[in-house]
Amino acid sequence: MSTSITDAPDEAAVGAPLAPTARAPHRRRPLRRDPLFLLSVTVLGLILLTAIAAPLIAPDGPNVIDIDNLEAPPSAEHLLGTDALGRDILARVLYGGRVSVLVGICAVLLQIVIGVSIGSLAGYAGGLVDTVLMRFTEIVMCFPFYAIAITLAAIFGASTWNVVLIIGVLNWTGLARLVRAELLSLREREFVLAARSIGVNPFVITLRHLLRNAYGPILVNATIAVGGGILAEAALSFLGLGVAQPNPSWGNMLSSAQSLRVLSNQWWMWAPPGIAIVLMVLSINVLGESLASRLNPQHGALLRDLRRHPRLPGLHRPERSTR
Amino acid sequence: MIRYLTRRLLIALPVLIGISIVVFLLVKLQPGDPFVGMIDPNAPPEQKEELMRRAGYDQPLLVQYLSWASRAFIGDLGYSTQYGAPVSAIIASRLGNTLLLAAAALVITIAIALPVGIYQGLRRDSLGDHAVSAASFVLLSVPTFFLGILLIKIFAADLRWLPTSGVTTVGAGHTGVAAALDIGRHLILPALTLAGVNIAVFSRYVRSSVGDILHQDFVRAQFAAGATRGEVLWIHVLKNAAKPLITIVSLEIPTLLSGALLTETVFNWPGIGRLNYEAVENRDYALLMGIIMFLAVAIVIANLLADLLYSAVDPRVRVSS
Repeated sequence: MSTSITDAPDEAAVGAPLAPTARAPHRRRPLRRDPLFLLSVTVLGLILLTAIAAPLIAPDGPNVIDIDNLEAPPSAEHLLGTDALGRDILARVLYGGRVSVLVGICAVLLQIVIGVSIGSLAGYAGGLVDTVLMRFTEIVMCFPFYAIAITLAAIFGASTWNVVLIIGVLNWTGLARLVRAELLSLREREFVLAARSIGVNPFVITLRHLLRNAYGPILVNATIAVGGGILAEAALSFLGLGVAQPNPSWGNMLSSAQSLRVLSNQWWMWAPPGIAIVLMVLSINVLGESLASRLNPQHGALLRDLRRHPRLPGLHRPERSTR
Repeated sequence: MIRYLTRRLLIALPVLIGISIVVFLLVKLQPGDPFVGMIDPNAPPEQKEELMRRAGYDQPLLVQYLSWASRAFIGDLGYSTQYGAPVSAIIASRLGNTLLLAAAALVITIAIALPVGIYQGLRRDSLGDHAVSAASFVLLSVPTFFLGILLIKIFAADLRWLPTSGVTTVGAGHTGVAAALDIGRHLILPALTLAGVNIAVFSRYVRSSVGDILHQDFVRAQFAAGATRGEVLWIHVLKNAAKPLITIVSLEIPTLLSGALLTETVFNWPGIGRLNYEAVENRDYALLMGIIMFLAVAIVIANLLADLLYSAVDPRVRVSS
């Protein structure tokens, strides 16, 4: 019996799908030839372009009321019809895109500021500082997101910037934990020891040597978080606790679909903003996934840290323990 | 095991205290006072001050917190202004509906995601795997409330197969089996909506878990020893793949409870989430505080459960931490 257990068994004997052959080497196409990357970037680019060019496509803005055409179906005059107040749906989808994307990006910038600060402080300082900050992070992780978010919205009022604050302040925990974990492993490396021994101050070490080496995971996390921010904005605005009328946002446009009459007969009022959200978030998720597969081919981004509901607090991430 | 349990419990305690402080401060931030709608606006200010003093509003913040926390600890979460009943009683009356919805969603999730994920794990990078992955990505990108709206549009408004909202058909007067079937019909769409995202996430965990284990040495050794494909798959691969799933399921519990807010609102399902939304609409702060605290406790308990179950099936966790 000289069969080594590392030899793959005969394919025919065990059946192809189960054959424990060596893991197929992951295809490492350059980013610019990855079809998923190209597709998602193209769709994202088109959406952003139309949002930026909104004043050119719809020069009258999102709030012009056409009193003769209330709830009108699509026509040459109004390509996507009008809503109950006679406002042009196409214009509102374009301007709403500006608001939704802006909220998503700003909320994530806030998450990055809070999450990276807390994570790097905890990761670099270690000891008591680390314990206190991580316990605090765990507390925030246990907040039921929507319950706290709508409470905050009720207290501070529904407005675009309050939505940014609410999403940013409640969703930084994943980033903080990620940054801390990256720093904990990086700070033991020789180049950090070298920097420290020649007297570089800790702030510069963290910023220039540690965070710069951890930017990959942070970027992936932040990319997917933009999608999460857009979804959260849509949900809050849909409930009437986010971006307030008359400002258009994809979420508050969908509120009209709460009426069964609109839902059954007037698809042009809810389908365009709904499709816009799905397209936008889908291309962000695909972009995040294609970036993540570059960092860690085994697990995609959506699987690792980045659940849409930011409530995966598991003190032991199962996929981490099984690795 | 006892030591591990004690350690985890000791960690959960400060987390609970921290959440209660934040929730307390949040509600203290509310504009106005709780007596705005309760007393005659023409009443002399002294009368209101007297009421405020009796309710303890002249005490320092810390004293107010301690008295609230000690009452909350024994289950007294205060009195709802909107319903005129104790908060804990109102939450209890809605809990059944939320649990029913969450349980149905969990069953649907597992029933769909487990076989799909196993299929994907076994046939990685096949056409079927890619097709299912694409579908999961779409599912992950649809807002929950929009998924609910679409299901209502297709199955309730257009096809008229299922009811659009509520728990029972109003005025139908069903009893016994007919009543249960009626609730079941109302349950299908909201449960599918709530399960939607979870199916995508869950099946990806199963896929990765099965795929990883297939390549472990002990599986290879099984083949080398002459085990058949079925034996290896059912006995060894699935058993080990199931371990992380226990954690995922326990971590899903709080998501199902608090994430039901949108689903329950869209479908007019009278559970905790809908109650939460109504409490915000009516500015019923005692109720709101009670619900958030209840959800936070549920989350902490579910986390604890996840840790304990996981360390029970995988002792390595206990040793390493």
